[in-house]
Amino acid sequence: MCQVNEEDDEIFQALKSTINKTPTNRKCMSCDEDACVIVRIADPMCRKCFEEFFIHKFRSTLSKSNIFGRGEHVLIAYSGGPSSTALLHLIAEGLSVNARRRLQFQAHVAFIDESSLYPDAIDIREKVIDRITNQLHYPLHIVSIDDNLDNDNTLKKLLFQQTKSLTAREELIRRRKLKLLFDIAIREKCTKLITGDNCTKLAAQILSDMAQGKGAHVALECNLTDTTNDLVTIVRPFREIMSKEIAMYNRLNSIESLQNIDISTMSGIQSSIFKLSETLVNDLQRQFPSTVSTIFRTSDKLEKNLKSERCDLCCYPLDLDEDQSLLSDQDRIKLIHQLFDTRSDSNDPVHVCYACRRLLRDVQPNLQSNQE
Amino acid sequence: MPSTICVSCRGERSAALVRPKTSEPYCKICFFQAFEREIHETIVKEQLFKPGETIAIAASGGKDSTVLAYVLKLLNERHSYGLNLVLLSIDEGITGYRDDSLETVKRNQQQYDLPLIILTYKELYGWSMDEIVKAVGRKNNCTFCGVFRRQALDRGAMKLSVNKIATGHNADDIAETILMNILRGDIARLKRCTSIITGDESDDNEVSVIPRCKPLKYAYEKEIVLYAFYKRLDYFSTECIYSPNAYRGNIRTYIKDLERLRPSSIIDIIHSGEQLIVKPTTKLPVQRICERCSYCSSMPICKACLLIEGLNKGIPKLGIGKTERYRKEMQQKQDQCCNDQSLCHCMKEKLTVTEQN
Repeated sequence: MCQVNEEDDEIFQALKSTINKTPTNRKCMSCDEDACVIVRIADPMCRKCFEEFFIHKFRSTLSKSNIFGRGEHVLIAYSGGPSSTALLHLIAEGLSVNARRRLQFQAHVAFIDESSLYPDAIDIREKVIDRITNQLHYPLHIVSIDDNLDNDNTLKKLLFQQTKSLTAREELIRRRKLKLLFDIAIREKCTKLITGDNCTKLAAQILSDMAQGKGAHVALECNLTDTTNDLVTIVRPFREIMSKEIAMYNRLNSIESLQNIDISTMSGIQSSIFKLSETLVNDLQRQFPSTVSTIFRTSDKLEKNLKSERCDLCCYPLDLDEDQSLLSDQDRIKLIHQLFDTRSDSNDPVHVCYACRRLLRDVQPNLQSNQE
Repeated sequence: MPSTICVSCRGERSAALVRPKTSEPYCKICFFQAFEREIHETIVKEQLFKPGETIAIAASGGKDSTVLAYVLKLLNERHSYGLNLVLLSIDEGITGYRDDSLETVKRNQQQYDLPLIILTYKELYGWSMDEIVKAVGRKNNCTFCGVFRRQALDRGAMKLSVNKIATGHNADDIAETILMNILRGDIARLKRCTSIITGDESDDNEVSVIPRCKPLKYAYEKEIVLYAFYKRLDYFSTECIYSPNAYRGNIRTYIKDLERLRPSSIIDIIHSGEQLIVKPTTKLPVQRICERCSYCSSMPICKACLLIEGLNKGIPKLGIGKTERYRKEMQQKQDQCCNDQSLCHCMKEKLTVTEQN
């Protein structure tokens, strides 16, 4: 079973030898100023060089393949968290008149308001409006997570009463958010959707997806441009940037993120598959500082699955045969139409991928049908 | 005591256990049947064996290989596969571990009435694991053991002239390997670690090696333990005295945690792994043949030859860490270690080849 002692492999030797050293009394690696941060594995940098390095990484990711057309309408997914706040900041700088190599697109911002699900969430909406509309003056589109549903309580009831695991709750919200973002983008005629996914999060997402049978979608989900939706392309300009680097950038520039509650707030590290995966990645990253980039590079070497048949739940290409993916349970079909389809009265057959089929096992649809 | 009813025979018998795979209550008899049926279905569906083939079961005396040997013998008779089964064991020469587990294999041989062949590292490579640890220390010894065992199984199988080797890798092992390969960025192994047969005609990567298959690929470790326990199979369960393996331990804990959250996770990981397609443009190491021992290798000189060279020359660190320079040197002065008195295993290889001819 143990083929080779992995720890003693060449790769691991290389990983171990480069454990962090403290920044005190170290000079910036590119100029001779005193360093204030350590980036990558053990490179000390001063503030100026770090910002240059950070912005360069962001801009080069974006300009690598000339993603945006001049004047193209682009939707930025904003959650209030550190990543998307930094993203907005960088885009605002890139769009400003005096920027070098100015970005040329029309920015819209979307915010999915989840506060109806949690009693404690207050005035996040006002804060978002203040920041986006009053300070940045971008068109802002706020949609509530239970938008389009007949009854305000439907989603809450579904998540907290009919769904039996936190994993399933998280995944349902994730899929619904993506669906809503696509809807906004299409409505506002945006052809690109920019998200703030950083590579630390993507690495955890890769493991979490693998564990839920979503391996077929890993390559797409981590790519810079994700063509899951035919009309809207997802762009991930932070995919090469670590969460730590974002935190350092935010701190140096006094960029404050909004405190926001999500479904897994206050739950333990063993409560869901994503949380477990995140914990594993962070723990390993502490011992072996190239864990995140290794996971990430592995996914880069995978071929994207570009089958045209899509899963009706997660919007990603199907990984099952036609007859295996067809859903037969009427209640569950109704549920999917209700939550994930704007044409909620349609009676089209529903196809779901392997992972979504597993996910639906944790959802009890029958409570739904006998409501008033 | 309130008795739950077995879901399979619907009340004929009361349930004795909860199946780890499905979390459903089963009675012992139905569990045995389901477990055996699933392995049979895997074998039939994946066409693991052809009638008349000789199959070597890689037997360590542990739970997986003991269950594998028992179930294969049972299914071979029940469904008349027409297979000729033999047990193949490798004696690494670890006192206090392998000698005890080999006793178990010897008892299994009696119980199941199968021929058994034991190959030792000492006779294949000139070094037993105990001697290697003495020379290398406790730190890198698993590298030696792992590299040598892979070759040893093939050599044993060639000696017995079998058609295939069946190994006891279970679903947990495969899930673990998939995640390990992602975490290590080993794209070549990631590509082949999910296939149930490696090294056969359909696999052009590993030519000239005896095909291997994993009939327990979809069997959960927990179910294997339950099966062995309720069938009262005679197996040996002790960790190797030399193996700490902390990194893999992290992944193992992760998988156990996942299984607790959602029992289907292990199968889901295997499904994910099977769905991964490697970009055709990705550079993969080319499989070639070692210039010394003609075993398959991704380098001109295979890892085993390199390690042996290091051991014989008293530089055991050779082959661990960066070794590009050494490999080149070895290529240039090829036959130095292979004079007739030498114990180098490439010499042995030449001998066995001539014997066969």
